[in-house]
Amino acid sequence: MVNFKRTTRTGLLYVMPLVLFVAVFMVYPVFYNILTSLFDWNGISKSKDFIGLRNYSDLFGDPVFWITVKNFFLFAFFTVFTQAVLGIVLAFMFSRKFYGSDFAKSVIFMPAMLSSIIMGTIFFRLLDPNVGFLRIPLKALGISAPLSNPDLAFWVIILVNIWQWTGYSMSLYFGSIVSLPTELFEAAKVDGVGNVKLLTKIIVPLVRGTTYNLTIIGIIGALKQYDLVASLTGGGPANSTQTFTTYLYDAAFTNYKQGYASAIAFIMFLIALAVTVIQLRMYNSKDVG
Amino acid sequence: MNKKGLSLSLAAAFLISASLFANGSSESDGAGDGRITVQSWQYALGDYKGFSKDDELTGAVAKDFNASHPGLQAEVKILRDADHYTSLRVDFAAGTAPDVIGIAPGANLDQFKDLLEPLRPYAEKEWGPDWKDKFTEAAFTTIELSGDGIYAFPSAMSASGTVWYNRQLLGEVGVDEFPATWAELEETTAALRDAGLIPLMFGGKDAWQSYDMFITILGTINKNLANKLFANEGDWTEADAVEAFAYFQNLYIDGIVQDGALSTTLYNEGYSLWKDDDGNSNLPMIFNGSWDLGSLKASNSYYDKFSSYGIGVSTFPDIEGNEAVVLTAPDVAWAVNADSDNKDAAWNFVQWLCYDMQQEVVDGLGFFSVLKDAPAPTVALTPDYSAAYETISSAVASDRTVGFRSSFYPDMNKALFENLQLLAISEITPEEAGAAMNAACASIGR
Amino acid sequence: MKKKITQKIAVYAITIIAVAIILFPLSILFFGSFQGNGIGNYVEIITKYHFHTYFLNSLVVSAVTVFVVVLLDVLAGFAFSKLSFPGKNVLYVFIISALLLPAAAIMVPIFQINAKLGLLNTYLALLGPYVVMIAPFNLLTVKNGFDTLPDSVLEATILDGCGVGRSLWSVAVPMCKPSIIMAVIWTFLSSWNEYLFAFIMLRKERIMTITVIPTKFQSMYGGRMGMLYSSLFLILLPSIILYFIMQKFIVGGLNAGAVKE
Repeated sequence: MVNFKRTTRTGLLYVMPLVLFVAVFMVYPVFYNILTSLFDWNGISKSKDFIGLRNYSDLFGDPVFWITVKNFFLFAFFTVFTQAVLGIVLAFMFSRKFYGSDFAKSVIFMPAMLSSIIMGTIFFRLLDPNVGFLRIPLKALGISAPLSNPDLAFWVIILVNIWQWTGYSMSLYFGSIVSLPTELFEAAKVDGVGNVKLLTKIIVPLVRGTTYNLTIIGIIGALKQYDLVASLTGGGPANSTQTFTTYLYDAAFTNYKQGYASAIAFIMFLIALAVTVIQLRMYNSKDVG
Repeated sequence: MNKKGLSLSLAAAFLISASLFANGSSESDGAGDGRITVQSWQYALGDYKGFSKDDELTGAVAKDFNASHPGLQAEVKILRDADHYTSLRVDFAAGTAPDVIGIAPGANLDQFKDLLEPLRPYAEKEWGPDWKDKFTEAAFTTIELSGDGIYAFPSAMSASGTVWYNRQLLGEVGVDEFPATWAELEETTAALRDAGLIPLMFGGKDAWQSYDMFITILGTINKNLANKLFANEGDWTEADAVEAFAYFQNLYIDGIVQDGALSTTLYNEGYSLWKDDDGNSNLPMIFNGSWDLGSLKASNSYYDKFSSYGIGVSTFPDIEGNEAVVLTAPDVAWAVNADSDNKDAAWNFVQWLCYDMQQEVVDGLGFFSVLKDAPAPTVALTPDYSAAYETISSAVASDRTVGFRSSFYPDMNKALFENLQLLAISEITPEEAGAAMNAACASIGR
Repeated sequence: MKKKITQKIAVYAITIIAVAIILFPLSILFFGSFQGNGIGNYVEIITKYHFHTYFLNSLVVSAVTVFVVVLLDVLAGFAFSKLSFPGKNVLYVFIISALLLPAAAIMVPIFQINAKLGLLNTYLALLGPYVVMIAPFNLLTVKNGFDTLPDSVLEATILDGCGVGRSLWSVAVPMCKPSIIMAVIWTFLSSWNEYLFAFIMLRKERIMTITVIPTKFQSMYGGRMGMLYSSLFLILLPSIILYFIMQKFIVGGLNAGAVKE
């Protein structure tokens, strides 16, 4: 912590605008969902029935809910890990400018800009077993219609997510690598430290703040995963690719169970809150700042 | 910068942004002065008077209504289907819902009904106690079943459970006529596969496609049982129901539908193969309803190319000697917001669309009239269109029809879609599907 | 020397493969955008669909959102990273928790708040939800940027007689440019591409944003795919341009940020 004089009031003053926004626009929605989760309500009607915690007991007894839990862990683990590894390698590579590196970096970031309509369309045209551009190589691997196969569909979604978000990880890592003192690279050069060693032994520990950051972004992203699943599989086949958020949408919009949807929202909120607190603990204990 | 300076600059920043944002100032919607707002989803108005762009279409509808109703002024909007219902949710919660609401009969209407004005009294005032004789019986099947009251009026009927086909591509495997029986359908699709063509295009990712298909099969095998099951009064493990599940499963196991059907939506993935913007067609057959009649209009830029394939439509093939049913139900209905300040004017709009404008509904192409004395189309039709219209309307007029395309109960719909998908991936047997449906429907109360 | 050449070849090979993996799927969309009417699709969207109105509206919304979000993130990120004040951790978790609710769960209550505040059909209706949905996300990035800044650098500014404000704006911000620029890019992308809240809050044609255009081509009748794709491409274009411009600043940050005192 920097030893400014009288930082107490300044600190509060600096965070207050954001805190106020969150207080006005988030606190009520959270309570709205907690309250709604105690009712049997279709989300529209003027009447709702108080049912206590039944939405929660129904939820815990719902096999699809446990699919969403499993998918959350799978998704969080594999996307966070792979995107971090690919991202840091690419960022390290691009940290030394070469002809076309700016262009390449922009192209690799581009998928992060795509809306879900684009993603759904593109990947149907790639993976469809009848007209997909990848149908022949896929067939050679013994795979037909991966998105229609409950054993494969979620893995495809994980792969597509990696395709879409590696560029984002790369950009964040790139930002922190180029912010490192240049002497570091010069010293490594003088000492004859190889690239692999430079990356794994020196850079990775120094950019761990970014890694923490990407981890929490990735976990929250996994929790809120909606667009990709909705556009690629719609949660199917037979619910095999449901995530918390697609299931929440289904409950609220397709099945007219707003109370149930709010219960899912509140569970998500609790999980994410726990993740944030744990992350904060870890982050502070490592004393990155 | 000291703290005072900072807070000043912060305040300035907020003021600047606030003034920028406030640019789009809100205007009060005048109420009670003959102005009504109308909102519906995109295809609800068909191609009214040949318009297809959203703005032109709604503008034309509003203009015609206003011209024929002095003192009233309608503002008409159409949104994407999902957006329409999303906006209704927030609008009803905040008290900003439109006066006239387009609503799909069936489960959607059932969920919204306690926010809607009961329309029976208005209809009686308008046309007298026998007003219902003016409408076809099927026009109210999925409206009245949701309770005693009538909370919406239908404006257009559609028929589904039909298959559109491409004579040129079928001809490539030596098939001249659309398959008349399930066995012929199997042979044809097998031949198409052998020739490297796509068999029957089916959007298994869509709930509505799955319901249409299953209800067509079940209704063909046993129409009465279909009616009973969807009113939640039947036993899903009855032999005919199990058989319907088995036929549905065979669509996938026997490869009658295309590979990857479970991850295909009919719109736009499947349909864009059936007809792209240039009029090219890459599909021999697609499971789709009467609303696609509009593609056979000569005014479409792609028409010459598309029609050169010899496009036709047929009811589904016979199953076990039973002639296939078509599903005919009101596709679009209109309701009046119970909290509207201008209910009479809103009713005028509903009445105008659902009665006075039936000629335009028929001419708007793709829809059928809700009236018993249905007007015949008066616009010039292409031969393809006339033939397709003839096929569907004679099926609709026959007794081989089922009057719904899904259940009124969201829970039943959810369970049905899940079990149909489980059948498709051979995770369960038809018997298990029946048992699972019984279990899911047991808790549905009327 | 030989090692260097192989290394160079490897770098180019990886780059070309990575770029190809990204561009190949995108090209499907690009070529698809010409079906029906060729380049005429683009012309029609720009000339017949109030394109300039929607474009300007989106630009105003995004510019203001970027300004407010990044300003608030820089202030809060700096305070959370470098200042000590009571309740810091609690407030941090409080803000981050705003990230956690999906749009579908907060749509109705936020609409009610805006209706109460009389903000419906004004751009202001988007500011609240956009700030709470985007700012916490970037706060992680911005705070992390400040975290990597050694305290000693800022302490040096105190010795030079700077207050907190001066240290922040004239030393910390320039040195943390890469993370702040990521926040700018991200805020722009998020608000530029946002559809759900934009369409719920803004119902009048003349204040709607650009993401409404593709919905015109997704009708039940199969829509018009060529028009859909070309409109999606037109929406994508400003984001690509912004990223190209902004990344120059990130690289610039290398020199400006490497303080050698």
